[in-house]
Amino acid sequence: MNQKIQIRKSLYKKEAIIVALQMYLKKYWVAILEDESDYFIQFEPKNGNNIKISENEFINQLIEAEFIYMKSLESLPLRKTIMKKALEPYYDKND
Amino acid sequence: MIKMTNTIKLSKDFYSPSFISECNSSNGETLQEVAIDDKLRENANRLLIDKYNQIIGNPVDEISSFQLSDLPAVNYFRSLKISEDEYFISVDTGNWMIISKEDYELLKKNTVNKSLSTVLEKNFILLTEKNIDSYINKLRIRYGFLTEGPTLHIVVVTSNCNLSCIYCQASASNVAANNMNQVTANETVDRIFESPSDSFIIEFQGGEPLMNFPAIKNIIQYANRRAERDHKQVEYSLITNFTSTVTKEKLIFLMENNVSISFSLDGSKELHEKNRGRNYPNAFEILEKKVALYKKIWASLTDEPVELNALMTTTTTSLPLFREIIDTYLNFGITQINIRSLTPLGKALDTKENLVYTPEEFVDFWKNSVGYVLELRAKGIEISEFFLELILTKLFGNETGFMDLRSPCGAGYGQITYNYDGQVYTCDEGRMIYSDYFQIGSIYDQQLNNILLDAKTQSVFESSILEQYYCDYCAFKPYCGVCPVLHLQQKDKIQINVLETGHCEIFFKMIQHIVELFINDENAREEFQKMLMNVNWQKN
Repeated sequence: MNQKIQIRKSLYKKEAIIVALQMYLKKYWVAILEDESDYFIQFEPKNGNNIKISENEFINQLIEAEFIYMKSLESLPLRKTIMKKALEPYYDKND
Repeated sequence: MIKMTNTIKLSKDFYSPSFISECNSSNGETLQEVAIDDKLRENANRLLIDKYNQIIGNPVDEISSFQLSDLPAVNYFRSLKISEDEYFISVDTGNWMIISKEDYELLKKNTVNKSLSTVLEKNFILLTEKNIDSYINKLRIRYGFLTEGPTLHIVVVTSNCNLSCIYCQASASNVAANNMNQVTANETVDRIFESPSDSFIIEFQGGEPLMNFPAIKNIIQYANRRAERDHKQVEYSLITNFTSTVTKEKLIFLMENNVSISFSLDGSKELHEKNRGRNYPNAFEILEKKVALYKKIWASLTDEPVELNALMTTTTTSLPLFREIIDTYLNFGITQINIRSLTPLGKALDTKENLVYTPEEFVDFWKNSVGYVLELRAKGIEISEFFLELILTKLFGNETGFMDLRSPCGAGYGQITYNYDGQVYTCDEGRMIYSDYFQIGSIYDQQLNNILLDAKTQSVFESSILEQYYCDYCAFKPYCGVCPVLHLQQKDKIQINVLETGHCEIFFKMIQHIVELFINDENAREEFQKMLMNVNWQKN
C-alpha cells in the first residue's frame, strides 16, 4: 500500500528531504514526486510489509535534517580550515 | 496533511521516461497506480542515495573562507536524542557531552548563555582561541595513521585446513598446491619491508597456517634479519585452530620469537565441535590438550603470567548460550572474550547451515554477553569483552588503531594481505570475497608503493571515508567505520549506503547501549572506569 506525504516547497529544501529520507530507504521504496508548489514523498513498504509512516515523525525528521544539513553547510569552511591545520605537519614531512 | 493527488508530475530525477509514460494517462496529468517492478524501485532508491552523495560531496558552489581569527565559532557537532529531555552531541575528535533539550535548542539557535558556553568550550563544541590548539592537536593525533603506511601485514601462508568449520569465511580447502613457497615467502617479506612504517605486525593466517610451518619459520627468520638491518621493529601474531597441527617444536619456535597466538574457541564442547564440522569429532578435547601443552611450554620459557587469546564466532546456535560461552573462556583462563558476529563471506553464506541471524538478534546477544561480563566483574572475576573495551576507549580516549572501525578503514593503507600465491589484497576480507575487486597487485610485479598508489587501492580507500555518507550526520560517526568488502558482497557495490546494511544497525546500537549504560547505570559506570584503566590497545 503506497503512502504519500505532501511537503510544501516554500518550507523545506529538497536537499533536506533527501537527507531525511536516507533512513527510510532500508524499509521502503521511496520516490520524490513534485508539482509546482509541493513535493509528494511516496513510500512503498519493501517485502510486502504494511508499516505506515507517522507523518508527524517524518516532519520531525525533516526539521532535524534541515538543521543538520544547514549546519554542515555553514561549518564546512571551519572544518576544512581546521583539518588542513591538523594535517599540516604531515604534508611538510612528506614534502 | 496526507493528500492523495491526481495531478502530480513524476520527477525525471527519479523515474525513467518510459516509467513516467506508463504512469501518466493520455492527457499527461493523471497518475495511475501501476505495477512497478523491483528494478525500478531499486533504481529510485539508488538515485536518492546518489543525490544524497552529491549533496554531501558538493554542498555549495562557493564556500566562504574561514580564518582561525574568526573564532569563537560553534564547531560542527552531531546530535542524537537519547531520551525525552536529553541529547548526546559529539565532534570530530570524539569528544562528547549530554545536553538538556532546552540547552540543545539554545545551541541550535546559537544563543547560549555564559555557563553553557563554558561547558561547550570544554568539550570543543564551541571553538575559541583558548581551546583551538588543543582541538587541532587532538585531530592531528587521531588522523596520524593516515601517514604511517600499512602497519598490519597479513600473510596467508596456506589456504589448506585440516578442519571444515561450517562458517569458514576463508572457504579453506585441502589442496597441497595452495601453500606459499620459499621464493614467495621471501618476496613477501621484501614487500613488507618497503612499508614506510618503522614498526609493524606480521600476522599469519590461513586456512590453518601451521599446516605450512616451513613458510612461517622462513618468514620470521628472514624478517628478523631484515628488521635488524633496516632498524625496524617487527612483531608477529598467528591465528590457528589449535588442533593436531600444533606440536611442541612449533610452539617453542613461536614463543621464542614472541609470536602472539590466537586460537578459535566458540564456546562449550558441544557448540565448538558443532562448528568444527563433521570430520573432526574430538576438536574440543584436542584443543584442551594443546592449550595445556602451550601453558607448559610457556611456563618453561618465562616467569610471566601465561597469555591466552581466543576468537569466537557467533552462529544462530550461540545466541542463547552467552553464559556458557563466557564460562568456557573463564575455564580456559582467558580473561577477554571477543563477541564477533559472523562475517557473511565464504561458507558462512551457505543457507543450508542456517548460520545467519538478524542484526537485532546479534545485538541482543552482545548486550546479554556484556550484561553477564558486568555481573561477573561485580563478583570480582576478571573478564572483559573486546568491543566493549574498544568502544569505551573510543568514547573516552582516542583512536584505538582498530582498523575495522575507523574512517577511512584500514584497507590498503592500514593493512595489506599477501596471499600464498603472491597476490596482494587490500585486507583479509578482500581475499575472501567472490570478486577480484580488492586484489590490488602482485608481489612479483610491483613494489609496495606502486601497489598503494594504484587507482584501485585508492578507490577502496575513498569508499570507506565516512564523511561522504549519512554517517557524517550521525552522532556516533567519530567511533565508527564501514567495510567496503562486506558492502560489495551484500549490495554489489562499494559505494555505501550504511543505512541499508546490518553493519550500521549493529554498531549504532552497540555504541548507544554503552552510552546509555554509562549514563544510567552506576555499577556499569564504575566497571567501565576500571576497564579503561587497564586498556592497552595494539595496532591491529
